Amino acid sequence: MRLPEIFRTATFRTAALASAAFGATTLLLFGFIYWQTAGLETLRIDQFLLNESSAISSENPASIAADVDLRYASSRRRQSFAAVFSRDFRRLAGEIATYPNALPPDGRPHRVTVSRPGPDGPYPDQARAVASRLADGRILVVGRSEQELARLRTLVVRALALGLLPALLSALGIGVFASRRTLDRVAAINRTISRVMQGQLHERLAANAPGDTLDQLALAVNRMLDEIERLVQEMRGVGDDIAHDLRTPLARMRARLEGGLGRAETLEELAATVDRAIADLDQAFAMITALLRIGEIEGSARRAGFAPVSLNAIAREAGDLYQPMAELHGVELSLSLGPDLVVQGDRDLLFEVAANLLDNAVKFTPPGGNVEVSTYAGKGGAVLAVRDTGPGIPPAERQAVLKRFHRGDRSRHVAGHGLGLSLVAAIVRLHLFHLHMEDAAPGLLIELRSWPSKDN
Amino acid sequence: MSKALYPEAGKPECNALRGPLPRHSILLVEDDCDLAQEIAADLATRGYNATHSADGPAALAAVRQGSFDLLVVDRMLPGVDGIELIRRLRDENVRVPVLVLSALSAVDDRVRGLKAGGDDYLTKPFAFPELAARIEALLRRPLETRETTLRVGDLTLDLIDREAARNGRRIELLPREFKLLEYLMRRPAQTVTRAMMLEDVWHYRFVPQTNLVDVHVGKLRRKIDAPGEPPMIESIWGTGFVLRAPA
Repeated sequence: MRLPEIFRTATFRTAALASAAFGATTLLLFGFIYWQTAGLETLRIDQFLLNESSAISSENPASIAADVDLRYASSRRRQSFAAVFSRDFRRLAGEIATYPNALPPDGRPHRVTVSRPGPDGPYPDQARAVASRLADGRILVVGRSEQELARLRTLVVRALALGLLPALLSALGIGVFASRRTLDRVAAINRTISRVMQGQLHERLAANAPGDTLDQLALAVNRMLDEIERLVQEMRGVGDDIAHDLRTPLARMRARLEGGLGRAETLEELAATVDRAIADLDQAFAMITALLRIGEIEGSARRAGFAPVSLNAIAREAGDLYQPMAELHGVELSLSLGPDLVVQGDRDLLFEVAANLLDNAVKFTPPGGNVEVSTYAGKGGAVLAVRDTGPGIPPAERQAVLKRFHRGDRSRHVAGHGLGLSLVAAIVRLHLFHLHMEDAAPGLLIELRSWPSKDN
Repeated sequence: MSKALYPEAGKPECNALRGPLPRHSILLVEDDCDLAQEIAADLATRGYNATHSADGPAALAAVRQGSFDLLVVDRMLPGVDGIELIRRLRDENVRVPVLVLSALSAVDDRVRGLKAGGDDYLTKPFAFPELAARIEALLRRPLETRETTLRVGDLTLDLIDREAARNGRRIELLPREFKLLEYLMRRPAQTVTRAMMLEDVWHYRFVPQTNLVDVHVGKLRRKIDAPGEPPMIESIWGTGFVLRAPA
């Protein structure tokens, strides 16, 4: 059997569970109170019976029977009763017609059912009674009805009903109400999500800022949608960029092949044309390879293979690799290493970051300038920094250089496919690190910071 | 003109491409027949005897029958995948060196290829000289000499004292220059490409955009060739370098 949807919500289930727990606790509590009170009442009755019994026994044996009749029958005290029986259990006095079988004449209180005369004839009554032998062998029975205990029980049950049932019902009611609210909100979320799935990527879930669990979930989904929207927009742009940037080397190659075919007079000249065309093709392939690698790094699960990597070792090896290049460019390349700092990452990819940053720094720094690779402990963790005395990057362009295919004005005359920094950015994102750029006056300071940026 | 992307295995035009003077025989496992023909033709002009299989099962059969000195295996094959093929061959105790070709640029794929038992990994597209250099490297294997001194012509490299000398003249080398020279001297008269040097000497897997390796080799060259001495490191245009004893 399928329950209506509302009874299947987590909120309703929680409310029902809480109600059940509350009900059980209350029942236990009332039971305990009743048990304690009833015990006390029984003790009181027993005490009364023993007192009464000893008081009557101590009277003159001759007048006891008359006294019992007088005291109990005439006073019509319905709660208590007394009777005197002969040695062979025949009634001599008092309101009890027959001796209760279950009552041993041992002078101690027992629980018995006695037949008592009422206005509508005899009725059985639950009572506590004491039977004791008088000095002459007759038996005195003194009892007290348990009606008060019964009344107490009724009271407790009524109080339980009056208190517990409304509480349970209101708890379930609140559960239903809260569940319906949750259901409504989930339905609203579902509607928004289906609109997003139909392509309306700008739609966001309604959520209050600090909010409850559902709000927090909605906020997380919204953040995810922001990222998805950003990526989708970036992809749209990238398709155009790729096509455009591939046209350049391909157009050059075509022109070269056509020109060479027309002009070449010797086999050697034709071979030279083909060689240049192959070089153009290689450039186009390098671009495609870099793009594929960016895509692969961005979409990869490589974090699983991360291991501790020494930033100092990376800085030292990258510096070593670029030293001769710097010398050739007339640039002084220096190393300034802090205490050995270890980050979690992919050694090859981090080396590529360092090499790319150095490659750029050496390329863009004019002869006579300096490039410094350094490592130090930053605010949030280890930092690998490259500082150059080149033209720097204007603040407005700093984010743009990390995008695919961006070629700043300063790089028009420098070889490259414009993807180096985008590769770096992809690797940095994979590591949940970030790049920080600032003016080194003159030149650029670019820091690879091994902690996430506050912006995302 | 339309052509099937994956021609069936064993088509006559795909098979049996022979070169003159078979020195080493190479089995080329490649499903793209056009590319396979070009590669085989190039290998033939370099003096190799190249046999072609267009898929995994054919390659397995060929290896079980013939004896090859080297396998060139495409990563993506119809039927049995290249990695799987290598794994099976290794399971059958076939110890022939394997060069993996792949159109995947995936960083992890290289690792996967090498783990399965490949000896080297080359990403498509590649230049023929790059393929040839890597085949040569796999066939020759570097000199694992027990001697503590490497010798090429009048150039010596003392691996214990970490000293180089040519013709009795001591050559001061920085550690990186020593590493590079050792790499070259273990492969005398063998073409090594820029990518091979980056990978093997610096463990740098990605070809940088600048002529980084040339600059390193240039510096080393100036140190080992004194004025008047015949140059020992020859540049192979568009490919890499060869260190050989001067004639």
